[in-house]
Amino acid sequence: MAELIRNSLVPVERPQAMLLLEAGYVWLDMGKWDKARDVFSGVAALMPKSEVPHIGMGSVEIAQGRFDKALQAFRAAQRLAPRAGLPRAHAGEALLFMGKPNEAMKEFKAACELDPEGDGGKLARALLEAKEAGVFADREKKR
Amino acid sequence: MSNRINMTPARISTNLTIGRQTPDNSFGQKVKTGLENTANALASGASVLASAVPGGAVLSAAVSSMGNMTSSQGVGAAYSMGSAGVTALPGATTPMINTTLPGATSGAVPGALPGATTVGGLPSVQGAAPGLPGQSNMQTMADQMNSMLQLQMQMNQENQAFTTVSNVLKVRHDTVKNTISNVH
Repeated sequence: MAELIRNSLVPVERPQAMLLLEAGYVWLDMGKWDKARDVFSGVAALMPKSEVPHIGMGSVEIAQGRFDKALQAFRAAQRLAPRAGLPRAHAGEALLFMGKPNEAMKEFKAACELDPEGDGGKLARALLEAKEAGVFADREKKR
Repeated sequence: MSNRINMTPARISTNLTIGRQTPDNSFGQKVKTGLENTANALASGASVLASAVPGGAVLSAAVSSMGNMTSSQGVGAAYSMGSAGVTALPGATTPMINTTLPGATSGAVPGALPGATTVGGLPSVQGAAPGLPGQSNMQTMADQMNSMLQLQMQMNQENQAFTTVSNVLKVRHDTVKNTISNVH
């Protein structure tokens, strides 16, 4: 029997959980926001202790331009995994899109400190480079 | 009593003025037609290779598509969909197409369209406007070189922005893959 997801609502095998999350991201890449949101909501209900579906929800909201809701989702992921750098990096991303570079910098710094060699640190550094290249300059002006 | 010797009344033509019926094949008209065709080709964005232009004139064009993604929805969609870096940039302005022809002159051909330029290899049009000082040609070249430099700087900046956005999209993709793989 395959490994089960810990603290899941019902017994969920790890490959099944991975498949569900993959499906959510595929819907997201296809632009099917509602379907992606449904999948991630379902996975969040199945795995209430996991921050991964909340990060997926945040990605859906960013794709739709709803950056405030995205930030809420990433904050929820952060509460579930306070020692993880990835939710902090994503929160910084949402703050950049909201035209709040100073707060975003704090999140990126926290992400780099929590996860310097991991995904959170890499994403934070990549977003920092993009910010310095002026990609988000228009967002700051609009604000 | 009239002092006119000839009492015949002055002849006044009542014919309406009509357009030229025969084609105008004068030199000036041919030059004008050529300039109009060149300007139209440039404006339509047709790909003109430098080697195809008589006299080896160099044509440079810069297209900025950043303005295509100005809306927040569009930005988020392209940003998340991992599409090519070009479309993922929060745009700032409407798309611009700039074309410059070094060595070109403007406004020296009688009847030329405003902004029309000459292509290298065509008869010099400076001679058509006698009395222009020689410095104007040098100034024009200097202005064009400045605009070329600015164009190059803009392209470098855009290239850097595209590279960084592509890197972000790649990192996001790798992050998602690792996160799903490590779910527990």
